[in-house]
Amino acid sequence: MSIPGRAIKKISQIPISFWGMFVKEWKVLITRKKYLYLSIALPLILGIIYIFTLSTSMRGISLGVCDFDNTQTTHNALNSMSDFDVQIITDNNCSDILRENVRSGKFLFGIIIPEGFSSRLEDLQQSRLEVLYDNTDAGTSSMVSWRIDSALSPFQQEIVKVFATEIKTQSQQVSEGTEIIVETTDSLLIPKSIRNKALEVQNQIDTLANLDPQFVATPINVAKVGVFESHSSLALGLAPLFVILNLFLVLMLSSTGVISDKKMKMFSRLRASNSSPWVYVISKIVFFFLISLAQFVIIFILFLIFKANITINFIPMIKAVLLISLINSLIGFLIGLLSDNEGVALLISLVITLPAMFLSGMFFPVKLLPKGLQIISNILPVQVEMISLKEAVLFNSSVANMFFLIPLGLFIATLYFLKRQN
Amino acid sequence: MKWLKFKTKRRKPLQAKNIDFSYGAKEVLSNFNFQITNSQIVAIVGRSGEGKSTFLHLVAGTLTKKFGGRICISGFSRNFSKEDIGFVPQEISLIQDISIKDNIIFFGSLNGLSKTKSLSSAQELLNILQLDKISLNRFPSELSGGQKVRLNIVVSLLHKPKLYILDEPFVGLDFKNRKLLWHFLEQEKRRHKTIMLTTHMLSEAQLHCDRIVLLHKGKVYTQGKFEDIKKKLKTHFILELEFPYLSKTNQQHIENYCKEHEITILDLFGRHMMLSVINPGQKAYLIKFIQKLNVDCYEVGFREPSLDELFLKVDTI
Repeated sequence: MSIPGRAIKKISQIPISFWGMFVKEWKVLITRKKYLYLSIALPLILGIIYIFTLSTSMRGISLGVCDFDNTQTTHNALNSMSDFDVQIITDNNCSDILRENVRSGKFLFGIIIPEGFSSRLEDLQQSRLEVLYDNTDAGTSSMVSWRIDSALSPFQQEIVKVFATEIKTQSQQVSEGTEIIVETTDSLLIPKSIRNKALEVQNQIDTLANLDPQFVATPINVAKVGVFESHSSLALGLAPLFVILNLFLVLMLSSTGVISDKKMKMFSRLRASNSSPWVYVISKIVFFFLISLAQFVIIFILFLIFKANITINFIPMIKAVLLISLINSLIGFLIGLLSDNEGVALLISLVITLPAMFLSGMFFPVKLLPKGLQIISNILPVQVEMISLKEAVLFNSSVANMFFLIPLGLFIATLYFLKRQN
Repeated sequence: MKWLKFKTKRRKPLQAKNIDFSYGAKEVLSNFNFQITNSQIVAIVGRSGEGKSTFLHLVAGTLTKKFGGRICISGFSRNFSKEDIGFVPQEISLIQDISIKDNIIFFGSLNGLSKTKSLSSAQELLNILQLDKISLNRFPSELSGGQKVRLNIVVSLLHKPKLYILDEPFVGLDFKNRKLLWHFLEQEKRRHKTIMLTTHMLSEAQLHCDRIVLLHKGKVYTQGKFEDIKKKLKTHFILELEFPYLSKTNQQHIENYCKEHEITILDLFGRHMMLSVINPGQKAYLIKFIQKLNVDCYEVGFREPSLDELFLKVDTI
């Protein structure tokens, strides 16, 4: 066959080769059922979580209010917030009680309406409103900026409606006064009462003239105040950042490490040797703890360089890092032990880590999620990890020993599956 | 104390009694009994799937499934005798990402050896297995297939066990490397080590092993020296015949004759026929019968069988 003939033959064979390769990929996917199921499960789980988190409503969210103004205006406005579970605190030290309740998590938000709130609005002056929130909760903090405004919108609308009427009334009065002045301009003797009226009108016109431009733009200035005043927003990021970083890195490393050991028949060697499976697991745990500790030190130093307000107390921090690395590395072991190869391990890791990240409370406050997702979120160890490190970094408090039952359970499960591995 | 030493010396390196093992519904070993005495090389042979490797893995304790029966190594249960076993798996289980030296240290540590002990023990084995010229800083991935197999053996025997268990150690080795490995095993036998291995290199096993154990249908079919196996299988001679032409009918006649006269057709491919006969007289009668059929045939060979050929007989049982 000539060279052009061979070239034509070669080109004509491309579709056959392509089809052969394509079919092979498909058959492999069908045969390796875990790939197929996980490929379908991942977008499904993430999609459901995303839809639920986006459609979170404020219904049933507990809101504490200190109404120092205590006027009809504020009463009407608070009544308009029917979606919330509004609880008005009437004690003398209302601010302190409200602050404490937001800190403890009893209220997701607290609203302080200062005295003279309504009168300032009557004078067409901008009024200030304080919204208290837990600034150490990453999810609530990130939500405050975009959620609180929309949540308070019925309140603001009610207020603005009242004062729009007020402006209208005042304008009508000005108009009336102006009419009288116009009517009496022709008369020679101007009575005293008319002069007074003219002065009153003058004052009202002055009020309008002194209208606060900020009032027009935003009649109510909503001040978002974190209840933990001493913590800068920079410091708040340390816990979620480290937890997510560790979750991805340690989980993937430990799962693929186990797969690689499985491939080189490490478990057979282990069983034939004088060593024990638990020694193998503990050696890996210690290794991943040291990696985690190194990661934490790097992030910690970085945060300190950028002047994050972090309490330095090593024991609680190391304890929290230990808990996090234990949980993540042991979950990784289990994934590795239950997966046939690196591909499946990676997919299972993603199926666990991505939803865990969404449900950890980092992006959305857990309390705003539907009940079912709240339960899942509370079961997921990522939330425990976040709470532990947050407590250690921001509040200098140690992880409760009870939390170490989670890695203990995972350790037992790992040993169980390790002993069953061939 | 003297009595204790005496008892320890007399303990058999391996005793397996009434072993039952199955993979799901498939029974692999059934009422399997086996024992080895000190300083022997024992080859376990049999067709693929007969349970050779399974038995080795059961002895080494690498299988996680439960089994019936009892395995004692040096008189102890498996859990207390791991230090006496050196298991060499068929797969090369070296860590490719770390150097040979680090592999040696790691595998030594699995049996509680310090870095120094592991390296000194390895040096001895590396010398015997002619790997001493290779730099320990190299990586396993840089070694040839034969070198990898030998290194795999080295890292498995660092703790100087009494019983060597080698699962198909000759797979992928050329003749020179196989020879080297057999010499190593014979040397270790002289150093009072007991060696149990599985292999398909039957002719070599016949030459180097003290005992051959033939597995069939999950049981020990026969064992002993080559002569014992020959006797048990009633295969003292091998006859090879070549037919210029053999019709289906004549082939059937010959097959029937063989069946009636305890002659086994070991192999029939095209015009070539291999038969097992008990004595030369049987051969003479068979040739006469073929001539009576007016079938042309040439005798290609008449000789004593090798273990490979004996093995063909097992298939016909």
